[in-house]
Amino acid sequence: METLNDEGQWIVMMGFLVAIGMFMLAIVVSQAPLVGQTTAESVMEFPKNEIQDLRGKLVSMGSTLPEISLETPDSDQETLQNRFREDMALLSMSRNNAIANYSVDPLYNGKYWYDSGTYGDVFYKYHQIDIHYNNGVTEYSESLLLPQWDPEG
Amino acid sequence: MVMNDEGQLYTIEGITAGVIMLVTAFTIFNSGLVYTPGDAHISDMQIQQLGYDALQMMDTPADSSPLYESPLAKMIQGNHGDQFKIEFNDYLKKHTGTTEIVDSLEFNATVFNRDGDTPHSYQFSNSTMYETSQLTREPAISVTRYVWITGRPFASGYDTGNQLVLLEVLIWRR
Repeated sequence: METLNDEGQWIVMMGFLVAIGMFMLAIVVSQAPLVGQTTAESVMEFPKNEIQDLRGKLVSMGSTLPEISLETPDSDQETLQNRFREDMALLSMSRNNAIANYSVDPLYNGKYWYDSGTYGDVFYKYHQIDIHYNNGVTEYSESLLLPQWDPEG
Repeated sequence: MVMNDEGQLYTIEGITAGVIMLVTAFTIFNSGLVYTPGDAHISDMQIQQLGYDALQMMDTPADSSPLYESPLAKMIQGNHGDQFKIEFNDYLKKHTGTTEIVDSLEFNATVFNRDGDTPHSYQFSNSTMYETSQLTREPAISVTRYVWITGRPFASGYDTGNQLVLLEVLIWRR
């Protein structure tokens, strides 16, 4: 150390400080594509469009489908509903790796909502539709109240 | 005031050692992170959303009363894959008019329906497959849409009557 040239050590140290500063900035910049990746990935991972699709189908068809009734059974409606439910369940499972199901008007005190008129006002009877979706990452459950569609008004 | 200039080299040595230790720790803790280029996922996400939106537009009926067939449902039931090709291509190509996008998306559409407990499928439509697309292409993105149709789809041997079929479209950039 004795023979070492001691001149210009301040300049060397400032050089080091600037280098360290640039290194830190480079780390910050290198995180930017990583943020982009995780955002895009999580957007793709979240099954927004699938859930909206199922939900939209039920809202557009649902108000005509229910009418499941113990007092005035309509076997056509029940057949149709079971058909749609099983189509949805099997195709979701086989193509989208997701469990999808729905039910209309749960039983309450031995009666369907429709018969007991639980949800009703002076204008409509309402149907309760429960939607379930689970693809292992995202779980979604929703209860919808749909007014009974009446073609005669 | 006279500054004390002694021991500056030792200071530099100390700082250097500190930086080396920091870099080592940073490298060790970051080595668990697998890095893939972010760009690929961003364009995948955009293609996926484009596909879902195109299918949703085609599956919107003109009349909003319940159980009214959409244009897409009519195409599937009539097996009009050629119509689907024209319309879907048109939606994929849409741009604002101020920019010109690279028109290089290709697709392949398959219809899945249920027969008992078994899913069946048949090829519904596809874009013009250019030769370059056979040689090399980017990974395909899958988009799906449930379509309600009033009868059985074109292919024979399936259940008749009202049903939901799943339209799956693979989209890729050649």
